[in-house]
Amino acid sequence: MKLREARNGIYRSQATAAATMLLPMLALLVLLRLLPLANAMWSSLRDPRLGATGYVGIDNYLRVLSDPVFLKTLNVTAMFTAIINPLQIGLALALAVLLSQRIPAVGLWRTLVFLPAVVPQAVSAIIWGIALRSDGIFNALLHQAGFSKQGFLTSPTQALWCIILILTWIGVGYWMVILIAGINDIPPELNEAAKVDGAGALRRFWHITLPQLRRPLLFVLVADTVANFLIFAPVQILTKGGPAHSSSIIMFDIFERSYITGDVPGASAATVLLVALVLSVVAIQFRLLPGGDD
Amino acid sequence: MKPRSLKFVGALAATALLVTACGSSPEKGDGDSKIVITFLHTSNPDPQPWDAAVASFEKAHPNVTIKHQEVTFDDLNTQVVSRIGSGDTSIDVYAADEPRIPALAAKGLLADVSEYTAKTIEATGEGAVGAVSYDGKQYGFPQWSSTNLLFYNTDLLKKAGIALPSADPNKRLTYEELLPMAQKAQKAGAKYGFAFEQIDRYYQLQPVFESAGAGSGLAGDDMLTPTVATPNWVSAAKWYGDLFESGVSPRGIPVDQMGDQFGQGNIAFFVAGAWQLSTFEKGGVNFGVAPFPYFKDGKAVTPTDSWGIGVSPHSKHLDMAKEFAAYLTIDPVGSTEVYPIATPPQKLALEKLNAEFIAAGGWKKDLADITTFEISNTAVSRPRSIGYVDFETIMNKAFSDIRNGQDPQKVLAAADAELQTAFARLK
Amino acid sequence: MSTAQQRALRSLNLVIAIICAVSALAPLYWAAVGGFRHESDIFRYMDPPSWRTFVPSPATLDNLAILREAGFFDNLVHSMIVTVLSVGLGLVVSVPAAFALAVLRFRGRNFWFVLIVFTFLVPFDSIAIPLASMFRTLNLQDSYTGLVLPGLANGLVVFQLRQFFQGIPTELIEAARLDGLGWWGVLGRIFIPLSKPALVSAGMLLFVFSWQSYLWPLLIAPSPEYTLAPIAIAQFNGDHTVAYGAIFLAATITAMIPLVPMLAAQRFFTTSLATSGIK
Repeated sequence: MKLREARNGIYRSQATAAATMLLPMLALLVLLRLLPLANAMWSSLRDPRLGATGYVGIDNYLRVLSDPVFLKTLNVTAMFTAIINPLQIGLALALAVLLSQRIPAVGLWRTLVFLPAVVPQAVSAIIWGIALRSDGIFNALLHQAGFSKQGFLTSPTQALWCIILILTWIGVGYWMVILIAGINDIPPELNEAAKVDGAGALRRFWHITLPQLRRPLLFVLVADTVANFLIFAPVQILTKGGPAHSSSIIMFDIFERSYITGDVPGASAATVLLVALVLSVVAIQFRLLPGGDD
Repeated sequence: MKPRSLKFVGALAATALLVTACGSSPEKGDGDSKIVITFLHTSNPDPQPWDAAVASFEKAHPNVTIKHQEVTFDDLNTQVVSRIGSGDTSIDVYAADEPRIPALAAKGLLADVSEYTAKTIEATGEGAVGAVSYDGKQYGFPQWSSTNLLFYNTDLLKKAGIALPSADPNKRLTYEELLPMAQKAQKAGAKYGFAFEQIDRYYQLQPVFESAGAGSGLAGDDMLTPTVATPNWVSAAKWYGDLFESGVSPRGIPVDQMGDQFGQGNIAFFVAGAWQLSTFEKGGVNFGVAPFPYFKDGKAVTPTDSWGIGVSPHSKHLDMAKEFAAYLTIDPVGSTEVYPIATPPQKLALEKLNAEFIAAGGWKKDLADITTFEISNTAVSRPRSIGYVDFETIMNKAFSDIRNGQDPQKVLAAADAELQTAFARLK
Repeated sequence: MSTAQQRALRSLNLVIAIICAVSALAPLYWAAVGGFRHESDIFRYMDPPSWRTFVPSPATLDNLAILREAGFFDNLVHSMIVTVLSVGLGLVVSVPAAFALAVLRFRGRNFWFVLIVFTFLVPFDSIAIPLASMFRTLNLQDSYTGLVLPGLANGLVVFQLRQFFQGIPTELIEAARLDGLGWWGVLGRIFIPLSKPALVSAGMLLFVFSWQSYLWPLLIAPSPEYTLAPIAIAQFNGDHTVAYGAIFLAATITAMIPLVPMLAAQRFFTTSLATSGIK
């Protein structure tokens, strides 16, 4: 068989196998994600007035983008993204390194750190809301220690940080577990050899662990970034974007427009803008980091 | 093209067929004989208000079954908008928050029930019909009304040597008299002197602004002109913010947790609704009731309106659904069978509720008397506007900001601008 | 490093691990305690803090009775059914897709990968209403099919598995192909046995998505026969009063259930001996 024909044969058999393997997932994604997305995007061109059925082109986009509250929301979202992602991923990585050591009952510690991820998010928000109350446990302890009570969720400078704290508590165990699987996948001989060569723990981490983790790390980076653009339960339950719009993240704005004030075309326009934003961030992450494809 | 393309189309078709074949929910409300009416409403702690009325309606109509679906207040709006809004027939009857009825009607989410207007007026009086109407037509049935009272902690007041306020509406306390009393109670050991239960909520703060002469915040023929940045609004807002600045009222406690504070005995004077009674009883506080306060130079104003029952225009059993809704709310027999978790506007039901409370004497009698007086004399409804939801959403955030120490003038100016933006899309 | 130093380091690691675990657990512990308090005691012992903050005194089983009367345990069963189906079927569709994207070479491979990544950028809340409309037209409301189906379209899981599969040495694939194994054989006989931690992580991703879902079940399955646990918990929010004790107890039970499989799965998170010596 000529080489070219042989290679084509290989490609064709791979394409067939790939087709059957990919088809169910692709069918589901097209029907259950892309089709409704197209529907939502279409409704962003609709007339937002009550009972109106016409189309207004890009008016909704202009309206949303010229709304000062929406612009403030973009600002807050940018700051929020810049803080929470490095924080969560750094913490998840540190915890993964720690909890992949040989420690007694390590399975138990991992499970407990992961536990907040499976508590219904609304309840987590309520619990933290109570802890951050003016007479809640944090203020009570501050008071005992002689410090003044803090506003926390009622303070425009502290509220966003509190939301970040709550979301980090909820999510960090989740990403940690994925990184632990990645760390455990690193052949132990690599570290053994480095130890024999006299490399300290930090050098080993930097030159062996981190490079070996680049694939799971890319996943965690992208997935966590996306998740943090889309999650908003604590804002919805505790601050409603306040005080003074200081915790107003874009997904909460979209939720409020869709489900509370009923401005579905405006919400759809904001959704398209959000998807475009997240897409660009993710694209940059794929470019900048190795481990995207081989 | 790739050999996959045919497989693709085939797989999509197969998936669609599979999915349809697996769809297993039974037909609802089929045929002339058996009718299922789905009733969507919020959850209530026991006792369930509609159980007895539903049972007797089903007995009178043996081919009808009523099916309940309970959700939270926020989820109710989500459900109504998404299900009825897409023409879904799976909701027949649902609880509709009265101030939202204009917006719901304008969106085509409520069936016109004007054929019942005469009966509604007969059962409840004109005021109740206004609360469920829009643009001259009736879109729902009034189930509950409401009012608020001033509850006071008798132990804290006695400890501070404060005279217990009278339950006589003609001897109503002014805020100017009340606040010094609240501060005195705090000096004598009360954690908080005075608080609103529905803190940061337009429902309970509208009377404050109305009593201060600032109006409801909306004006114009279509009630889509915001007036919340006027000097009167700003000065009343300053008064509200000062309550927290001075420590008389607490910051940082959400609405749902306020009732518990009074029940535990932490608040001396508490403006609240009668729905908090069970919380107060569980907390063990000794309390009395007095009428809702007012500003010395203004009128006495109390909040009102509550739930109405509406019918989905897409219901497959429109007539039966309307009959059921009417039975629960304005029917002389049905409405008295509904357990009153709030104040029913139906005259006979109200009489029945009052009779029990009046017979009990003490603060219960005071409560009944004050309630009857307020509903007939001082109640002011929330503005009827298709922009009400936008209005309430923005204003509640503004109140929260004012409570947390933001400058009232800036907050109200910003709110006014936001309202104008929001209303621009409705006009 | 001397053994004394090693032991000191190990003890330090243990202490830090315990601190982390306790910090994660503390808020949940307080809520769990609240589940056994009387309604009026929930907010009573916060300021100043005392031993009563952490121990319910007096304790009560009232909230358990409330849960039982509300049929909460049925809701838990519904949630478990939906989650088991979601994890099982989700893995069935995701694993082959990830394998195809990681291992097979075919035209448009990158395009499909990008498309899959794109789908999980889409906020579910924004497509929930059109999706619910579509499902109602297909008569899928109030059914397990309707509840489970959208959860299977999870591009994130495919992405995660693909990352992992890419790390499996190509020599293994070549050797298997030379032995005459078809692609499905390579997947089933080589990749899956080597991928236990990744499969567990993928299962965990699917699990959490399903366990936490609120908006979708609310829209598509509002009938009491299909109500899931998170929505049942929300129903304890009445119009004017919130049954905090019931909420806390229900949430504690809801969180405890995944604890058992999670602890059991820990044994998969050990160093993969199979890959040592080959990489």
